[in-house]
Amino acid sequence: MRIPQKGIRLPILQITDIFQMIIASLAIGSLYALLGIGLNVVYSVTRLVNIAHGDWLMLGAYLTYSLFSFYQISPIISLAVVGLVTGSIGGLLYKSLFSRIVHRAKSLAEVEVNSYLIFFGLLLVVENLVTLRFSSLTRGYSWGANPITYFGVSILVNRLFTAIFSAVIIAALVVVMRATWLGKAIRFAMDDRDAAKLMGVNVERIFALCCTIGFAIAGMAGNLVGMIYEVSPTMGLSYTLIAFTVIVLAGTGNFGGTLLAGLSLGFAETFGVYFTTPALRVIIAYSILIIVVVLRRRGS
Amino acid sequence: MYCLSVNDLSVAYGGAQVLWNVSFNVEEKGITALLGSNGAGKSTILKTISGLMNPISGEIVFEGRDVTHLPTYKRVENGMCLVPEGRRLFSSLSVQENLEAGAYNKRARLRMNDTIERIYQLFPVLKERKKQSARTLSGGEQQMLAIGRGLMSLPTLFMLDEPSLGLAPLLVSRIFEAIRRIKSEGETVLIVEQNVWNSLRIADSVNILENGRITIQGSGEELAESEIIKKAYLGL
Repeated sequence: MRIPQKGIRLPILQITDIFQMIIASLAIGSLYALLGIGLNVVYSVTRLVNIAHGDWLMLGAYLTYSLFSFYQISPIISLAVVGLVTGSIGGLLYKSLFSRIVHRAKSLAEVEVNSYLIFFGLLLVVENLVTLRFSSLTRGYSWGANPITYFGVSILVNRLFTAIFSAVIIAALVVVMRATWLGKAIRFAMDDRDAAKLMGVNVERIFALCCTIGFAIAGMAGNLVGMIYEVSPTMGLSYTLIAFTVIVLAGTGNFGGTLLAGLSLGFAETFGVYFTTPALRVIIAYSILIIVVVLRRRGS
Repeated sequence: MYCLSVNDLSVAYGGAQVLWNVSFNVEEKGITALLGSNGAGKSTILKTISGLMNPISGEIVFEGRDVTHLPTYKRVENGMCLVPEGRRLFSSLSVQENLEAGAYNKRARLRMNDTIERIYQLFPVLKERKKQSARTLSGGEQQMLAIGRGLMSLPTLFMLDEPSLGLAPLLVSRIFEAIRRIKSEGETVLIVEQNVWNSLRIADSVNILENGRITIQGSGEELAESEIIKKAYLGL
């Protein structure tokens, strides 16, 4: 008989436990995929390194919280409003700040470094403004915190909604990319921006649009996160890191792969936590990021 | 009327001026060549004409209209097309998808399928490889695809930047033959080349560029007979 190693529990798994964990993995994984695709739309097309991605998410969560606590607007209704507001922020930031950086840069590396620095500054500004207005205490709102149960497996309504919403957004993006001239224009700009211009693509408009879409997705993800977890001004960083992990796994520009990567991360985290301890949740995700970055072949 | 007039064009790149008061015209339905050695500023002229670079002074008049400050995509919509140096194909896309990319502008989109058939007649090898990814093509096939992709935009001014660069001699003459055929179908062509001999043979009008300035202008026949050209560029 083997003696279990110290510190690792070996629980007896019921078949419903496994189903329960699969459902939980899919729910959290689809949220991660949504985070990743929001970042991917911006980075793979414009090469702007949006390390404030989690902060647009945080802003979306606080906007939802404000509408909920001051005007009693249900989070599910404010979802669209939040997308519009954070999306507009993305479009305006591109037009006012990042457009210059993109056009003056002599290389894509220069775009990446300069945008990284600016987003870092924006991240601090946004976190401080939100702290100033709402204090650093955690806040919360909830929607759909009631479970529904089928065949002994239950899921909270808000998690089910998050999974469906994420799947719809990702599917919509994949369809647009594959089947429309707009999607083709985005692919050309992603491949080679000068060549795209020579094909007659208004690259400037494509970049502004991608920033709008990416920020809108981040804000809406914040609305969904706030239904499930508590909200605080410094919550952004951990979501930024998850989003980067997802696109490192999926590869830039691969929107379908983003779904797979998000789900994989969801499974790794859910099962990893089950067999160890919830305290390792964050460490599991970042270990995956580090391992993939170190081991990945160049050019993939 | 000229298809294109470049007047007193000066361009700087990264703080250093590379073109000084360049002026030349492109006649309709002919081949105009810009020749010169590496670093003479030939590519910069085409990039500025197509709007990828901005001049510090001078003007670009296309079909009677000043386009000096138009963004690139509008110039493409108006009928300008540049086949860039190094081809710049979309390497993750197939041959057919690259050709379709050329028909992005609304004018060309409507007639895309007809134009593709025309390109496949011009370069039958592209039809054989239409499902293949562009990166699997040989150098010569890639150049044919780049030319085909350019023609897909239904240009009235077709510009080619060093189409023979890096190709084996046999392929070079096939590419020049294709350019001659494109002209005979009524296209206006502006070509930039280091390959002076082949260019002189197909060009109706020639401009020699040295250190960012145009030094000699004339017809292809005239320059092919000129002693200066023979000595400096043809090694005769």
